Amino acid sequence: MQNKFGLKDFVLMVLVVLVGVFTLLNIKEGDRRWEKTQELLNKVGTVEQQVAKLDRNFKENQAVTQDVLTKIDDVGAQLSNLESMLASGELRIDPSARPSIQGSADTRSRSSESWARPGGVPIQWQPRIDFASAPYGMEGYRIGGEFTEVFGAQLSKLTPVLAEDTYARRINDQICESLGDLDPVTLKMRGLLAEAWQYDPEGYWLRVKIRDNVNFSDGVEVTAEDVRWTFHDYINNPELETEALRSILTSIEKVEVISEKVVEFTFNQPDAYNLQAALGIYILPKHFYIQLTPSQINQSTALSMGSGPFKLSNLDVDNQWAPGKDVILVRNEQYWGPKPALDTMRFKVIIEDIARLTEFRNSNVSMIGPSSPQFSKVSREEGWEDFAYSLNWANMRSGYGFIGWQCGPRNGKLTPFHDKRVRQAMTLIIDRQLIIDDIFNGIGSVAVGPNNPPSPAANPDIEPWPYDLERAKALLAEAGWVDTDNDGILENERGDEFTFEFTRVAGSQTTERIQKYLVDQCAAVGIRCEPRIVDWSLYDQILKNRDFDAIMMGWAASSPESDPKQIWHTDSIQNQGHNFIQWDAGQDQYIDKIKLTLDFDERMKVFHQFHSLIHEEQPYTFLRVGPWLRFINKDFKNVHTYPKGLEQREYYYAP
Amino acid sequence: MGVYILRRLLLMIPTLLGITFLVFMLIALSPGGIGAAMSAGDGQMEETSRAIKEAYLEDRYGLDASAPVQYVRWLGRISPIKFGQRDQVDPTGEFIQLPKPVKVPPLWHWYVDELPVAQIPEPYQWSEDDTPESKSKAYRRQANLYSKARSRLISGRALLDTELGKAIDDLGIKKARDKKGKIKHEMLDLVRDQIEATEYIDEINRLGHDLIGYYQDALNEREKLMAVFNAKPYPEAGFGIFPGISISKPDMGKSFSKSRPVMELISEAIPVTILLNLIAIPIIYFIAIPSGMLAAVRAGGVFDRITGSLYIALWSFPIPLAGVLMIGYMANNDYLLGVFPASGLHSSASDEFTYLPSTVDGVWQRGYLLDTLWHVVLPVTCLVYGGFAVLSKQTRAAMLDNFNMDYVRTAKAKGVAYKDIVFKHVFRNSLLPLITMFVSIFPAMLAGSVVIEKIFTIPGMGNLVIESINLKDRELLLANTMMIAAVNLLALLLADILYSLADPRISYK
Repeated sequence: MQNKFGLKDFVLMVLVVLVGVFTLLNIKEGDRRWEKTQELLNKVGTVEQQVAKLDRNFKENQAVTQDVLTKIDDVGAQLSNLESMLASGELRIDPSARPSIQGSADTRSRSSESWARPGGVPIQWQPRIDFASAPYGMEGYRIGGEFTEVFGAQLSKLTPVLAEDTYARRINDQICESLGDLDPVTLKMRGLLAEAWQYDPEGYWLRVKIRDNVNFSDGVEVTAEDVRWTFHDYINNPELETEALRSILTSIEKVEVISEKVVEFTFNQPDAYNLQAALGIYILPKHFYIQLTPSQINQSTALSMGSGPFKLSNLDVDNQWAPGKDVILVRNEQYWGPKPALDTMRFKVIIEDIARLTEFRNSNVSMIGPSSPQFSKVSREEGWEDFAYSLNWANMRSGYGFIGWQCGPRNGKLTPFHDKRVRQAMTLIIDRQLIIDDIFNGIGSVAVGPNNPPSPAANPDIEPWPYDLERAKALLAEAGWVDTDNDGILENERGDEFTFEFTRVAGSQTTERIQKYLVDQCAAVGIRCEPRIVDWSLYDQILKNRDFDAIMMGWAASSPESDPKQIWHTDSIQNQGHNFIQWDAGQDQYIDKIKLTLDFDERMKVFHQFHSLIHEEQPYTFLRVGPWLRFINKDFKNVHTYPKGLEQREYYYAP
Repeated sequence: MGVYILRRLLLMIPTLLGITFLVFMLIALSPGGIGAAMSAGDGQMEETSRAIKEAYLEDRYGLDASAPVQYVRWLGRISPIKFGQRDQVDPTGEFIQLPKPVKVPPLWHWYVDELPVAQIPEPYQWSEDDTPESKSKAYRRQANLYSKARSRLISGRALLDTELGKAIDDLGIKKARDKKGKIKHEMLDLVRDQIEATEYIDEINRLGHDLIGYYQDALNEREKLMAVFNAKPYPEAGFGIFPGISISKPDMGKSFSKSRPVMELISEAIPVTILLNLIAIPIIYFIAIPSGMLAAVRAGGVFDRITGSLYIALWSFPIPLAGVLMIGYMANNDYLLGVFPASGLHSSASDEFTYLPSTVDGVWQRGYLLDTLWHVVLPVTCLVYGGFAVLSKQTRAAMLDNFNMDYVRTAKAKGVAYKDIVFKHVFRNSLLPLITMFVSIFPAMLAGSVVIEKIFTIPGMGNLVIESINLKDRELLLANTMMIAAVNLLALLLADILYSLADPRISYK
């Protein structure tokens, strides 16, 4: 008897498998429901706690009110007593003894300055925080809506200070707040959590008064202790992986709590950047982080909590956000400042360019950063105007691309570029506007120097060098480079041909096209340019060893006036610093002065002089300022571009 | 057979060590070396800040040791057999290791005649009413003190090195730096006179004396911490066999580019990759093998020619282009076919979905499960379309070989039904090459497909592996290598076992 596997058996087997699979799926479904219920229960728990807190406050207030009422009754009784005494003539009023109202107001304002350090250092009161463009009352304004922003690379961590990349900062800027931040329009420091500060004219201390009504997203008040703790026990805790910020903030010696709302910073030495450093630290809630062990914080992915307009939708220590999922922020209903209209902000990662654009077209995401070709092509499409804002603007975070010329020796031998006339000539032969128009689809502007508009540190009087081959040839001849043997290549007096090596990074189409253009332009004036194409990982070593004649790179920007010391000071020539072009032309006087000038306007003047020197010397040929490119869905209103960037908290959703 | 499998399994250990060592050394010796990516991006940092940051990172991850030493340390951590003092486990599950030793400051004999020695504190004793919490608190407090003292020592050392660097650069002594620009202190002894003549010597001496002070502090704090550690504030990890030897859970360590446990990262990425492949591989097999069989049965016929050329055409079509085209035409709502999502594994709203499809308030909702399946359609298509060619050609070739065998002719002559000849005789005998194929596909499953993951933004293993190589992340890289290598070796073993099952002539005695 042979047991054959027939159709009946097959059907039966399939049925059994199907039942199994369905049972399994149902179990999963049940688990998911249970998780959701747990989440809801947690939320209800927090709400209950807060209600209880409110209730307690209310009761306390009631008690206080009772107290006040009885006191008023007392006062009333006494008054009637007095009245009867007056009436009976036991008392007489002397009109000159009436206290003046003016005087009492004086004492009040003086008492609110009692926190200040005596010695007559002026207090800088900060205005109330408001939107740069307030959306209230605009057409179709309403609360609600979700704004989805897209990142082009996976972010691995959100926890503030531990994660310091631009993406994490974008998100944390919505969650956490610092004592001060830059005004989006003027780019000047303004008080955020700080109501006022006193800054030592010598630059050794800074006393800050925190606003009275500011609280973290769980309702706990922001106090001076939070500031001290953030600096000393979070950023400067060697057990935490906060090295990146810790090694920069070395100029702050200590932070002291003066009173509940007053804190004082002490600096090692005066420096124009101290104010920004001290006021720019995210203030974190001590009561939240102190429950965690150092390794829990180190290994966390998203433990971000602060006092900002949004908060993380999930702040569960045991079940944190994991990379690969969307980051979701919800409106902080307890926010102390102007409240945003949007309900949620979602941050999504889409690595592929085309997928980003497709998702934007499908209205699945609200904002993307398109590539230059995408931007110039798509923004001209018919009907695009009605669908999306196409934003293209330079702001304080726009970096610049450049070619650095080796002004010092390479392997003990001077390059032709040690002569500033040669460097000027090199800039003259590069038509930067043409590069922008042809290679970058017309997007961007010619860079004028290390700081570019809208930065106030850029000298407004400086015009970029023109494109002028004849003048370049004249300058080269002046520097001693003439074609004596008529072979088309310039020589100096010793008969050395003008040849140089141009180092660029491999794998980028735009740099390849710029390199080809440069080779052609050099040939046109009789210079031989030999490209050297290297992998990005080798750049560090090449720069450290100063092993190049000319190198193409870019610098990113993060603030309106970056400290020029690291890149330009002659100290940075030593010790493999970042003055890798070894440029030394008396710039130190300006750079040192910039660091010591605490007054903003004065400092900008020195910046402008420094800019003029760089313009004259051309240690770099400044190529292009890369603007920000953004597409934003037109369902969102009140969209403006600012020198600081974008302010999503002002947007509202009105399809 | 059992002995054979055991022998193979034991042989895997040295093979794995060899593979991980080779891969690690290759990465370590490439320009930049291990951990190079960590210091990328601080271009505009001041020199001293950068030096201090690098010193902190080097100390935290032990990057200042030579590559083979780093490898051996890693081996020590992942080995289930531990030597020396046992780790302790705190309530959050973290391993508390013996406090790191303090390094002797370089060139100390320039500043003092004798190195300071640690003051040995009294052995730490818990009192009767110490709870686990208070013990933990005592340990944490001392650990914090030690790490502060240690961090002062490290930054002091970095500052001194910066100053020494200025001096030797001024003097133009190139030999005093290694390839990465690090100062070789043993070289400096030879040029001490020259350095003493430079303007930096006052600062160097000041920093040097500070450093000796920091060293003393760090030594003392470490001894105190050792005392607390020896009093065992936490339960010990694993169990001891002999004094000094214990068995404990292997610790794969922490990725330093993401500062999270490696196992956590892998366990997040692997299910995604397995999901994709669990759908893709059966599809490949269910289409390729039957069509290969059919092509063999009707060799030279229309079906054979059409599938043959079609599969080859698909196989030669580049995946990146196919992915981009699919996103362009099958994900863009402006087109008829554009109904699929362009990226990710879930819709934005999927958090609110039920798991199974359901109707909520009269509206049909696809549910979490269907949503996920709908999202993997395009990536799976990309994974699948190129896979038909090789498999179906293999099946076809193996079947044709067998068709020409004598036993087939005998069977035919005997009058066996054609169906039985094809399925029972020829197909079964053609299984061997298919098993080999499966073995090569199975490990690839875990490694993931980098290109497809990039195009569709899927957080799978492929991305993780590539990132670990690009960022030269030691722990992540070694764990990935080890896992992929182990799966490959296991797959080879599995193949050999399957051979013997499929072909009775093969035996491993």
